[in-house]
Amino acid sequence: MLFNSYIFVLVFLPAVLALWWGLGRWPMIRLAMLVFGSYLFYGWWHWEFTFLLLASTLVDYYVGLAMAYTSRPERRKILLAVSLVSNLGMLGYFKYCGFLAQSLNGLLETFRFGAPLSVPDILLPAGISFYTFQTLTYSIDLYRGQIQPARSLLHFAAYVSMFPQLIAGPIVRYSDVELQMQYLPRRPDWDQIARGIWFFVIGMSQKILVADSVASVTNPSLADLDSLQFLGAWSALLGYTIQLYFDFAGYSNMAIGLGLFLGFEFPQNFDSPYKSTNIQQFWRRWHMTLSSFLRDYLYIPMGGSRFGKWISCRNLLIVMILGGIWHGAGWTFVLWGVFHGVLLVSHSLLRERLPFAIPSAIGMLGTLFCVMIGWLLFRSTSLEMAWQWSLAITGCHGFERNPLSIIFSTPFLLPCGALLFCWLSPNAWEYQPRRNWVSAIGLAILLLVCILRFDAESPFLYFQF
Amino acid sequence: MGLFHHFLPHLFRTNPSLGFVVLFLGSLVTGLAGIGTFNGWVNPYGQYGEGLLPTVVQDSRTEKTDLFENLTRKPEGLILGSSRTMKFESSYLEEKTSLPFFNYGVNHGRPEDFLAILRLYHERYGSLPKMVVMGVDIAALNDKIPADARLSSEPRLFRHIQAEIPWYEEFDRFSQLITMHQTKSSLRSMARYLSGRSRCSDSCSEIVFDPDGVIQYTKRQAEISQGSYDFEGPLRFNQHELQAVFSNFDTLSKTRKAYLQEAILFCESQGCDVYLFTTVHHPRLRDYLRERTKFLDREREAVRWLKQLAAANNVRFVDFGDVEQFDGEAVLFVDGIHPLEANTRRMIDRLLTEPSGDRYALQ
Repeated sequence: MLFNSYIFVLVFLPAVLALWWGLGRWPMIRLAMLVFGSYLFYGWWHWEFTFLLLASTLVDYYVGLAMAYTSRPERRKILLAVSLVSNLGMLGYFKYCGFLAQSLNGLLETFRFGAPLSVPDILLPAGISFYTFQTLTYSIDLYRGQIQPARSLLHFAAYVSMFPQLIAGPIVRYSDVELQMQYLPRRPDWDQIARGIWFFVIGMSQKILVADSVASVTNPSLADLDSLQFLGAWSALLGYTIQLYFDFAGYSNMAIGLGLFLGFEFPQNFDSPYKSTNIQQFWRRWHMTLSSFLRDYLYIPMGGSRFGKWISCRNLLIVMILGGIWHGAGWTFVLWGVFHGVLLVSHSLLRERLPFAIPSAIGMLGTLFCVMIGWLLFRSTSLEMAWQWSLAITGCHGFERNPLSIIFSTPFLLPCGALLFCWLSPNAWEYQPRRNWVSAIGLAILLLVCILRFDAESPFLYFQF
Repeated sequence: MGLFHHFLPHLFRTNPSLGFVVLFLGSLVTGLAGIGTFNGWVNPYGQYGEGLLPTVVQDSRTEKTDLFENLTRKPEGLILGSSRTMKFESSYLEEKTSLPFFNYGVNHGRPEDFLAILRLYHERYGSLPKMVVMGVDIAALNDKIPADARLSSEPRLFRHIQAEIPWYEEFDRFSQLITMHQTKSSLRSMARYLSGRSRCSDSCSEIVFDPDGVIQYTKRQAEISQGSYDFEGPLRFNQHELQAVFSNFDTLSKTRKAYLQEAILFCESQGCDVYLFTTVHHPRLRDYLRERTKFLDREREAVRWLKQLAAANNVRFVDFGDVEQFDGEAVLFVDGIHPLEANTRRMIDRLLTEPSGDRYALQ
């Protein structure tokens, strides 16, 4: 089920909220209802995949329970390994099997061994990258002794499957919601609900009014990449830069809003990333819950920056490559990871040696430029597409005879306007409207306009990861 | 008035957040109800039964059912399908089979339409025709597309299938009342009505159905014969429309497969010969879709399944997806999906020479 669908907004959400708050006195029944609702939400697309969600939940819950009952380090290690192997195995099978077979075939063909492996056509279950990471954080945090095991299977199942963040994050750690799950509020906190409305409506507008509008003018030009020239190619790249941000930040804001409707506070996932003045700052502001996951569960365990500059750079590079692969099974994602790894390493090496401070405006433009080049790889469905697009933005496909016709066209002006908005306005976390008539009616009209546009159903970009 | 003078101001004073939530929800529900009521009242596409105003578009289900009910001679053959089959000439089929035919192809005709039409025929004549020519669009097997709303607004057909339509498809029909597309059409329609013009746009007069159900594209055919027809515009429209359909088309709809199977079993039980085929795509449209969507995968999957269905029920089946299958010509199209008579005649010739379905069982 999509947040931007009639069935979700008109039926599912009102029903779940009515039951959730109506059953205020019976916390276990509420949690059971939430789990059932979340499985329904997830299974709406392919009910078969709910078994994967269930399997991941059961394995990690019982692994966690067993870990809590033993203090023997080697047994705890084995239990952690069970969780890692099952979660990463599941992710590996569904996400990377086809890519691996294809890559191996390519390699063997290069050495004239033919292509002996059949490439499996496996449908990727939505959100698998997100919920496997969530369950992993639970097992690892338990292993480290940072959290207590979930109070019951129902508590844990509700944490893993909670529909607002199930498909595309934010990646919520058990420690983020542990206390909130234990002490469920009986009655709605109207201030929290009002904040939820703000986040939900802003997120929906980001998705429907900005991301989808930009996509509708950008996608046609990308479908005909060969004919794109210099300005057209940059216009398409800028369009995708805006589309991706508004699409994903929109989803995150909606998830946060929905969490608030249920009385849960989820962590912030975006903090105006295009205002970043350097690449390190960008990664602190873009998909913040993934960045902190990579930092706490990969970078720091690998040694972080504790063993000198070069080890730190190596670790950064490895983490970013793995981050790239997490996003998708394809060489373009690997390259995207390498590219950002190199940027972060360069930044870390250069920042102390520069004899002058870079003005923030230049830093912001430079960072955006680098990020956009990265998005070119991210958006490309093949290395060939990335190459063609790179040729076009460097002018190798030629220059437009009438550049003004591109500059004053919707595909260029719309993303430019959205980018200016990103730079000049506060984000949804920085600004909260006053609780008055104007804001209530204004947000209702905004949501109404979005609902009217649900007929052009469009999934979120991050569903594919 | 008390709501605005007393209740809400009091609520905003005592608990601004609660006042905000109440006003937000109240405004939203009022807005949705208002727009839904307005669109239902104007009913620009005739999807919600008899509206207060006439519809702005033609509804082929209603028109064909009117024609069918007015037939003086019992048709012994039926042509079922979408608008892509509307150029299958009843007279040409009669010439080839000596059976009188009626073309019951309807816009976005899908297996549920076929079943409803066959049941309507059976109700009227107490048996099925001797022969049914059934064109299946691959796109119609998309599990994400609900039954066409125009089917449910034609009671003479819908009552034959209503019990089998899943509830969520009915929900989809009513949720269309609050879409931007519907609202824009309602506003346009109202503007035309209020300015004293016909609510039907120019396209209404461009398409005419003969008494035997065959379509005549009056304006387009005239332009084609004058050499002034712009083929590119309609082709681009098909490209974008079908790109959207095939981009999210992951599996064949189980419900549609069941409807088609039921339609064929119904025919078999009544001794009616079925000639099944997949409808054609213009070569440029095929290329376009092949490069950008999962079109080829779904086409292969659909053809494989249809072959199995044909073999199991002794039905003749031909895959006409590509013009080469029937020696068709790319210039003989109105757009990317609608072939002209010269092409449909070749399809009929090819179809009628096809051996019966057990051929596939041997492969």
